Amino acid sequence: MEWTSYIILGFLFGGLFFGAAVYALLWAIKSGQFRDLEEGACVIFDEEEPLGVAMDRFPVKRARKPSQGEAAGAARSVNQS
Amino acid sequence: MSSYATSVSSSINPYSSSDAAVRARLSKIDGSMKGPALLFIVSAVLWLLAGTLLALIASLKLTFPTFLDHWEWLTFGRVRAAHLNAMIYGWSNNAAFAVGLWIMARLCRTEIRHVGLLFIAGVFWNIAATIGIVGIFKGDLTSVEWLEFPTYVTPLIAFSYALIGVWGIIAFRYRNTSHIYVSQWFILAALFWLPWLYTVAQIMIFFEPARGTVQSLTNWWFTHNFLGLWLTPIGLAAAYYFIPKVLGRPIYSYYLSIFGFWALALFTNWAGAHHLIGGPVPSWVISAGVVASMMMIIPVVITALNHHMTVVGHFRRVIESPTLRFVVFGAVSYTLVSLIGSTMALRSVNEITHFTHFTVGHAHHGMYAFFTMIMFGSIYFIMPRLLHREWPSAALIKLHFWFTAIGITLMLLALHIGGWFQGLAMNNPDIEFLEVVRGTIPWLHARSLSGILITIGHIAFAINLFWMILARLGRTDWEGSPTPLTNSNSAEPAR
Repeated sequence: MEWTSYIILGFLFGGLFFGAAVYALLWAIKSGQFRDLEEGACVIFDEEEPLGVAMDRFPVKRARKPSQGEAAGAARSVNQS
Repeated sequence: MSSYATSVSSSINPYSSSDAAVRARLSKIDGSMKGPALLFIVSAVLWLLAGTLLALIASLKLTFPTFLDHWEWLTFGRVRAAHLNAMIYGWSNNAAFAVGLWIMARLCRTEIRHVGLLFIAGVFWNIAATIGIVGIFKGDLTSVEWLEFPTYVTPLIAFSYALIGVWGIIAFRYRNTSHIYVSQWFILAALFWLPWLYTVAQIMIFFEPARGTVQSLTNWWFTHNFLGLWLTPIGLAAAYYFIPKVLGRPIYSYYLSIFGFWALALFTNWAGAHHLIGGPVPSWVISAGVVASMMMIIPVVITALNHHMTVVGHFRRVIESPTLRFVVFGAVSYTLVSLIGSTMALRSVNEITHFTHFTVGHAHHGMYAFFTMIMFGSIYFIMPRLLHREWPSAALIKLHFWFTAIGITLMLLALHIGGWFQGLAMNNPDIEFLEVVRGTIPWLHARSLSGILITIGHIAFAINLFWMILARLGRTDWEGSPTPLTNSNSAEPAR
C-alpha cells in the first residue's frame, strides 16, 4: 500500500478511536461519574472490607491462642455462611 | 453463578437478566472466580519459572559464549526471544488476566459469568503460548521484537484473548454500582486496547505487510503500547485498588487519579516513535513521539503524587503487608521508569542510550520492577481470598521480596550505568568497538548475578504458592474470616 492510503486509513481509524474516547468522556460527565468524587473514592470499601480498617498482614503461626479480635472475626464468618 | 446467568446470550444483554440488581458479596465474587483465577495464576507462575531459566541462560551466554552452544535451539537469538515471549505472553498476560478480571468483577459487584468458558479460553491461551515458544525454539520465530511468535499461533492467541477479555467487558456491562472506580476505567480501556494493538500489528507486519519503514513504526507502536496501554493500565489499576484497600483509607486525590487516566489515554499511544530516533522515519513522526513522551510526565507525576500522598505516614503498614511491599515497590518503580523513559526520548539523551544495555535495563525496569512486582503483590492479596487459606510461610514471602527487590535493583544499576558508559564509548570514534564490548563484561556479570538472586526469589514464591494450593487439599475447614488477612487485631483505623 502507498503512504497516502495509510494516511487515509490512519485518519479513519484514528478519528474513530478519538470519537470513541470523546464519547466515553462525555458519557462519563453526563452520567455523573465526576460529580461526587469523594464518595467515588470509597466504593472499594464495604461492610465486608470496611473503610478505616487496614488489612493484609504477614501470616502468623496458627497454633497460638486466638485473641479477642480473632474470635470475633471467626464468629462473623460463621454468621455469614 | 448459576443463579446469575443461564445462557451465554442472556449474559451479553444485562437487561434480559431479572436479578441484575443483586449486589454480589465480595467473598461470593472471589468464589466465582476461583477456577479461572487459579488457572491463570498457576500458569503465570510456571511461565515465570520457565522465563527466568531462559533469562539466566541468555544472560550467561553473553559472558560465556560457549555455554550450551552445541544445541541450535539454545542459541542466544532463540533463547532471548523465548525468554521475552515467555515473560510477556506467559507470565505477564496470565497474571494480568487473573488480576484484571478479579479486580473488575469486585468493583462491578458482579460475578464473572460463565467461568467455564473463561477457563477453557485460559487453557487455549496457554496452549497458544506453548506452541509459540516451541516455534521459537524450532527456529520459526519472526524478527519482530515482542512479536517473535511464529505467525501460525496468531489466530489462536487472538481468539483465546477475545474469549478471555470479553468476560471483563461483560462484567462491566452488568455492574451493580453506579460509580466507575478509576481501576475500572483502566482495566476496561486496556481490555479494548490490547486486541486493537495486536491485530493492527499482526496485519500490518505479517498478514498484509506494509512497506519497511511503516512496519518498523508499527512494530514500535505495538511494543511500546503493549507495555504502555495494556500492562501499565492493569498495573496501575491494581495499585489504585490495593494501596487504598490494604491501608483502609481512600486514595489521596481521587480527582487527580481520574485525570491521570485520561491523560495516559491521550498521550501513551503516540510515544512509541521515540524508539526510532535516528532511524529512517520522517522526523516529524519522531518529534510527535518525543513530545508525547514528555507529555507522559503529567499522568506519571499525578500517579506518583497520589500514591505517595496515600502511603505517606503509613510506611509501617507497607512493611507489614506482603501485598503493599510489592505494590508500593512497583508504584515507585513506575514513577522512576516513566521519568527515565521520558528523558530517554530526548534526542540528545537517546544518542547515548540507543543500542546499549541501557535500553535493556529500561525494559526490565518497566516489565519487572513496575509491572511484575505489582502482580506479585496482587497475587499475595488474591490467593488467600480464592482459597480461604493463609499463605503457609511468611519467611518465604520475605525471601521472595528481598531477593527480587535487591536482584532487580542490582540489575537496573548494572544495566543503566554499564549501558551509559557503553553509549559514551560507542560515540567516541577513538575507542575500538571490541574494546567497547569488553567494557560491558563486568556489568553483564553483575546482571547474571542479579538474575540468580531473582531466580531464588521466584523459587521461594513458587514453593509458597504450590504449598498453599496443595497442602490441605480437599480440606474444606478453614479458620478466620472470609478475608483471612484482614487480621482483626489491626482494627484500629488508619488515618
